Amino acid sequence: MTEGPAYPLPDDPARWRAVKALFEEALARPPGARAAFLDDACRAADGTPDAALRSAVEALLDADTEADDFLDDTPTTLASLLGALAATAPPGADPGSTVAAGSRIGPYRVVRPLGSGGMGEVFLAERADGLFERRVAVKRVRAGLEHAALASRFEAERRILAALQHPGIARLLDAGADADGRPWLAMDYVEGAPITAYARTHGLGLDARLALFEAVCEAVHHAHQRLVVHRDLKPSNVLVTTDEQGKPRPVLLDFGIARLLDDEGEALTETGLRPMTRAYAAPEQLRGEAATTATDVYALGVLLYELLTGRRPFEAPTPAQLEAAILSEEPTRPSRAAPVPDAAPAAVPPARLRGDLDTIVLRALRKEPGERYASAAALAEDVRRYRAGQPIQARPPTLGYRLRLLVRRHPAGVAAGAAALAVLVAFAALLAVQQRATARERDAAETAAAFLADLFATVDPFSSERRDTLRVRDLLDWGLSRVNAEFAEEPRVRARLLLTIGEAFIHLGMHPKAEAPVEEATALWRAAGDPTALARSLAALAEVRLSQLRYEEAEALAREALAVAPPTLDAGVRTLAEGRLARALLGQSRFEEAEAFLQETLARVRARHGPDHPAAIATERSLALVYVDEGRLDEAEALLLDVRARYARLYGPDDPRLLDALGPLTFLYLTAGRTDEAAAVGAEAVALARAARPGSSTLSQVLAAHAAALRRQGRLDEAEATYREALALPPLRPEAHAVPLGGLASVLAARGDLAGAVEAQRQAVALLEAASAPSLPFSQVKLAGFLRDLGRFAEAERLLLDAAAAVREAGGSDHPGTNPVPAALAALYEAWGRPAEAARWRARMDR
Amino acid sequence: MVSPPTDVTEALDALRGGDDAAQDRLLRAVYDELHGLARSQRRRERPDHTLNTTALVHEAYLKLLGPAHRTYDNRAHFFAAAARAMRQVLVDYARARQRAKRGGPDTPVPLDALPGDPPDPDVLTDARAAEILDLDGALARLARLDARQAQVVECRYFGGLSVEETAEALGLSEATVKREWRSARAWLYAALRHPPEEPPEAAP
Repeated sequence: MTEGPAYPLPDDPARWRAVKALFEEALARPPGARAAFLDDACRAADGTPDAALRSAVEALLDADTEADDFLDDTPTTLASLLGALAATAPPGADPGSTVAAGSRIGPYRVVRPLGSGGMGEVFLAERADGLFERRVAVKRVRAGLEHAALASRFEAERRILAALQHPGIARLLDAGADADGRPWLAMDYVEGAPITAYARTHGLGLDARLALFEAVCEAVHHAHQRLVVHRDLKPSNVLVTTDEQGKPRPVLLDFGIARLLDDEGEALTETGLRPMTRAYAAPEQLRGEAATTATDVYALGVLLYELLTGRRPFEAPTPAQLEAAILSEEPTRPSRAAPVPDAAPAAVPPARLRGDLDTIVLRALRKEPGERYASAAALAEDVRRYRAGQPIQARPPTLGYRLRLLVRRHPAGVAAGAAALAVLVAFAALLAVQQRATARERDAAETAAAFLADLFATVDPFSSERRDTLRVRDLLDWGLSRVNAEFAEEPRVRARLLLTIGEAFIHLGMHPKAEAPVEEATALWRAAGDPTALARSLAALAEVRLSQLRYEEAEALAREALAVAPPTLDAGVRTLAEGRLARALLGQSRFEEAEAFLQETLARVRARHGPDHPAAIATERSLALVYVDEGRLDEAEALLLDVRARYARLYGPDDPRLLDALGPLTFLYLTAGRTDEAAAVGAEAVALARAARPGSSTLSQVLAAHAAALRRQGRLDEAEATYREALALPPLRPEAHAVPLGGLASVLAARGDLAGAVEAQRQAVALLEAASAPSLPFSQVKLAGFLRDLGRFAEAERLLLDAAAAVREAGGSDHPGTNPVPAALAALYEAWGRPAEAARWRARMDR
Repeated sequence: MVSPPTDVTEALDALRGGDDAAQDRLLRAVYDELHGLARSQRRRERPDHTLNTTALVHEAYLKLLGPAHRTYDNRAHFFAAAARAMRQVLVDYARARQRAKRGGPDTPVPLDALPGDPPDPDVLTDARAAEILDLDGALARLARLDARQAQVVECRYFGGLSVEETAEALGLSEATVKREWRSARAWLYAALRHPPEEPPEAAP
C-alpha cells in the first residue's frame, strides 16, 4: 500500500503538455546527453529549477525504456476475446445493457428500451406500483462505474429542476439510484419528432417555423429565469408534439441534465464521450469555459439557422476542422447558405431570409457571448417583431465586428505587420466616414482613400514572413459588395469607393477585377463633373485597357485624363497617366511619338520637382520601355539599372515597385541573349513578387520570364516547375498563359516528350485563337513543328494551310518576319518527302 | 441484425455535422457487426486461426458501407468509430467476466447467463479481464489530460489500426500519431505500474 501518488503523474492538461514536450525533446537527444538537457530545461516560469517537473519527465523516460512491447500484443488476444464475446452475447444486445423488459429501476417498471448513448440508456417505463398511469422516460447511467457518491447530488439537482414548470419543458419527475448505486432520472415521456424533422415532414412555411422557434425561446427563457441552463440544445432535444387541439407544441427535453451530468461528467463518461454536440456548441464551450445563458442563446441561433436553411452554420469534414470553424470563422449568412439537395420543397426560399432574418441569426451566433442577444426572450422578441412586420432591434454586424473577425482568423498575418492593421483600419475609417456625408468629412475620406491606395502600392499589406495578399483581396471583394449594396443612392460616395477599390486591385496586379469598378467610377465621375477624380478614374481605366492590349482606347483615355486634369492634380497621378499614354503609343508601334512625349515630360517633371522625384524616375522607366521596344538595348539597360538603383535607395531593396524595373530588365536580357543575367534578375523579381504579390497575375508574368531564362540555361527541371507555377496563377489576360504554355512545350520537347509538347502547345494555340492574338501564327507553326517531328504530317499540314489562309484573309504578307507559315510549310513538305511542294512554298517566301 | 448501409452512411453524415447522437447509432451498428463477424470467424473452427482486429475492422467496414459510400471521409470516421466500438466490446466483456466472478445479487442479468455457449475459459483469464479494465480506466484518465492522445491509443490499441489509418481517422499527421503514441504508451505504462491512489482491489 502506498501513501499518495508514488509516481508524479501530471494532473492537469497544461502540465501534461509541458512534460510531454520535454519528454519528446529529451528522446531526440542521445541518452548520455539527456540529464544535462533536463537540468537546463526543467524550470518554472521564473527560471528556478522545477524538481517535480524533472522527475515527471524522468519517470516518463524510464517508463518508455521499460515499456518495451507494452501494448504491442493486442491484435490476436483482443480478437480471440471478441470471438468469446460473440459466443456469449446475442448480436443486437445492447452493449452493457443488463435490463430486460419488466425489470425495475427505482419505482418504475421497464417497458422497453428507447435508446442508448455513450453515457447511459433510456427506457420507456411506467410506475411499478400502478399509482399513476403515466408513462415516463427513465435515463440511467451505464453500468460498471461506482456512482454512489453522485446519488445525493442527483437528488439535490432534482429539486432545482422540479421548479421548472412550463408546458414547453419536459419535467424531471424523479431521480434516484438503483441497487448498483447507478443514478437514474425519470422524465416526462414526450412522443414527438425533432423540431427540424417536424418542420420538414409537415412542410411548414416560414411563419410556422418561426412561431415554433419563438415558443422554444420562451421555454428556454423560463428556465433561464430560474437560473437553469440547458447547455445541450439541439433538434433531438426539442421535440414537437401536438396538443389536444392538434396544434404543434415544442417540448424541450433534458433541461439541466447536461449540467447535472457534466459537473461529474468525466466520471460518468467512461469512454470519454462528452455530452456535447459539437455542431451546436458555442465557442466558449469548445474552449472549456463555463456555459451561461448566452451559451443557450447561441445554440438557439444554430437551431434557427437549421430550421431556416436545413444546414448548420458550420459544417466540416472532421471534428477538429468543425471546432476550428466554430471558434474563428464567420458563419455564412443564412440567405447564402448552400441549398440542401433534395430538400428544396421544404426549405424556406433563401431570398426570404435576406435582411432581418440574417441579422437575427447572426446576432445570436456572435462569437463573444456579450455580443449576442442578452436573453432568449430578447431573441424571441425580435422573431416576433419580424413576424409582425415591425423593425427588429438587432443591427447588422458592424464593420468593426467584421474586421475583428478577420483579424482573429489571420492572427499570423496580422501580427506580422502593423501595415496590415493599418490597411484594415484605413479601410474601416474610410467606409465609416463615407457613411456620414458632410463635405468636410468627404474631403477626409478622399485623403483616406488615397492613403489606402498608397498603402497597397507601397507597403505590402500583410508583410513579413506570411504575406497574405489574398486576404486583402477578400477584403476588397467584400468592400465591393458592400458598396454595391449600400451606396446606390449616393453616386459621389459610391464613385470614390469604387475607384479606391479598383486602384487597389490594379496595385495588387489583379487587373481583371479592377475593370468593373473602375469603369463604373469613371462613368459616375463624368456625370458628377469632378475633374480631379475623373482624371484619376480615366488614368486607372487606361491601365486596365493596357492590360487588355486595347491600345487605342488606352491612348484616348490617358489623353483625356491629362486634358481634364486641373493643374493641382497630384504629380503621382499625372505621371501614371503620362506613363500609360506612352505605353499605349508603344503598343501601337509609334516609337518616335512615345519617345518625344516622354522626353518632354521628363524635362518638365525634372524642372518642377527635381531629378530624383519619383515621378521623374517613373518617367525614365517608361522611356526605357520605349528603348527596349525600339531595340536600343544598351540605352534601355542603362536607364533600367539606374531606375532600379534609385527605387531601391528611395523605397528600400524589398519594395514591390522595384518590379517595375526588374520585369523589363529580365525581358531585355532575354532579348539580348544574355541568359545568365536574365536568370539572375528574374530570380530577384520572382522573390520580390512572391513576397509582395502572392497569387497575382504579376507573379505569373514574372515567373514565366524567369522560367524562360532557366530553360535557355538548360535547367529544364527548374524551368518546368517554374512554368507550372506560373500557370497555376490567374492570367493577366485570358490568353496570357499562352506564354508559359509555349515555354512548357519547349521544355517538354527538349526532353523528347513530344506528345506532352503537342498537348501544351495546343492549349496555347487555343488561347491565342480565342483572343485573335497577332502571335497566333507563330504558335501554330511551333505546334506544327512538334507534329512534324512526331511524323504526324497530315495534321501539321492541315494546321499550317489553315493558318496560311487566315493570314492571307487578314491581308498579311508572306514575309518570314511577320508570317512564319510559308517557311514552316516548306520544311514540312521536305520532311514529308514532297520536294516539289516544298519548293513552291519556299518560292513564295522569297517573293 | 445487420444495419443496412444507408443507416451507417446517414449516421456518418450526421456525425460529420457534429451530431454525437449519430455517434451512438454508428457505434451500435459497428458493434453489432463486429459481434457477428467475430462469431462467424470462430465458427470456422480452424485450430490455427487467429482473429485479427484489423481484418475485422476492415471487413466490417466493407460490409457496413455499400461500395457507393466508401468515401475517404466515411472511411476515416468509420475507423474511429470502430476503434471505439472495439473498446466497448472488450470492456463490456471484461466487466461481465468480473460480475460473473462476483456473482452477487447486484448483477440482475449477467451476460454469461444469456442463452448461448458458455464463454471459453481459456480465452480470457480473470487477470486479463482486470488488465483490460485497468487500461480502460487509465485511458479515461489520460483523456482528461489530452483527449486526442487518448483517441490515438484507442485507434491503435483497441481498433488495431495502423499509424496511417489512425492518422486518417483522426485527421492528424502520421508524425503526430507516432509522437502521441509513444508518450501515451509511457504514460499508461507508468500509470498502470504506479497507480495514483489505492492499489486496485483486484490485486492479489
